[in-house]
Amino acid sequence: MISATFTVPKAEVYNEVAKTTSYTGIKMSGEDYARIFTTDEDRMMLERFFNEAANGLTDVLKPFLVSVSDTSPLHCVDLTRNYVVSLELSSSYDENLNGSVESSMFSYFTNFIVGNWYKFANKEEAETYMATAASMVMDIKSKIYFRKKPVRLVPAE
Amino acid sequence: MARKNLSVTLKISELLYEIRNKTWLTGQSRQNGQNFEEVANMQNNEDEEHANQVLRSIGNAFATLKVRLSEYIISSQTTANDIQISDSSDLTVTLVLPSNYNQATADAVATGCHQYIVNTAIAEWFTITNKTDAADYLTLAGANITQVREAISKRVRPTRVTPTP
Repeated sequence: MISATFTVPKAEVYNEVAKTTSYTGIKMSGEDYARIFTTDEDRMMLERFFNEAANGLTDVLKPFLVSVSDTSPLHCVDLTRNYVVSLELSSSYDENLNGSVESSMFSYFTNFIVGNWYKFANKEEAETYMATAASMVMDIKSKIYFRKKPVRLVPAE
Repeated sequence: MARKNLSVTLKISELLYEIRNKTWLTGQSRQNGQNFEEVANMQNNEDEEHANQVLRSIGNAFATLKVRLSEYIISSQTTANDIQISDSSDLTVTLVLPSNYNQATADAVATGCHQYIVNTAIAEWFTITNKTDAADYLTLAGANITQVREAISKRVRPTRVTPTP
């Protein structure tokens, strides 16, 4: 078996969410920008979405799960509580995919949070982000379930 | 009349590789862009639960092979057990054949035994992980045992020794 640990840094996810919502808002009028752009005051809501994203991903990864960071709800935002998951993957898993898996996890969190935020703030684009989040889950699955081809060891005569 | 012994050795690494390669190729060819988990499940690999299942299947198939060839096997074995075979010990069987057995078929016997075990083990593996293909491998295994028995049945024609007048 191959052990692998993946980390999704919460602060970076929130920064990415802020960037994405800011870009979307800039393309619109002043009022829309204020509504769409996520600010530090919105973080309690984002925190709930982060935890939901974490729970959804943990469910996908549970056949391989060794440990996962705590995602129990808090009454405050704790930016140090990253999503950290340790997995025991198949011996035929390709470790060269580790970076790509982690990157897909990051994108999943970002899209999931933006999609849920847009259900309140920018309904027209919400489905697009939710669909992208779902496709990121498929992307993660395609990598962790990928199996390297077997290698033949030529036996001694 | 002198008999001919044919010792057949089946390398466990070769059996395991062919099972893993065939199931890996089957998985690759069944991919549809959505079924990652199903594909991974049908691809036998070195993971403990995979290895245990396939070693058990190889052991079962080898035991059945010996039953099918029992008329050619002489054994003084007095004990038996159900311990799973190891992935480091090869399988050997010695066939005691008539003196006119045609040794030209020796390789066919070995490859037939190999294929029988591989196809039987894959049939068992696919019964768990890919039911639609399981029956095909069982059919192939049946053909393999027929091939082995045919190869064993080949005889050299008698040679006339001219008597001295």
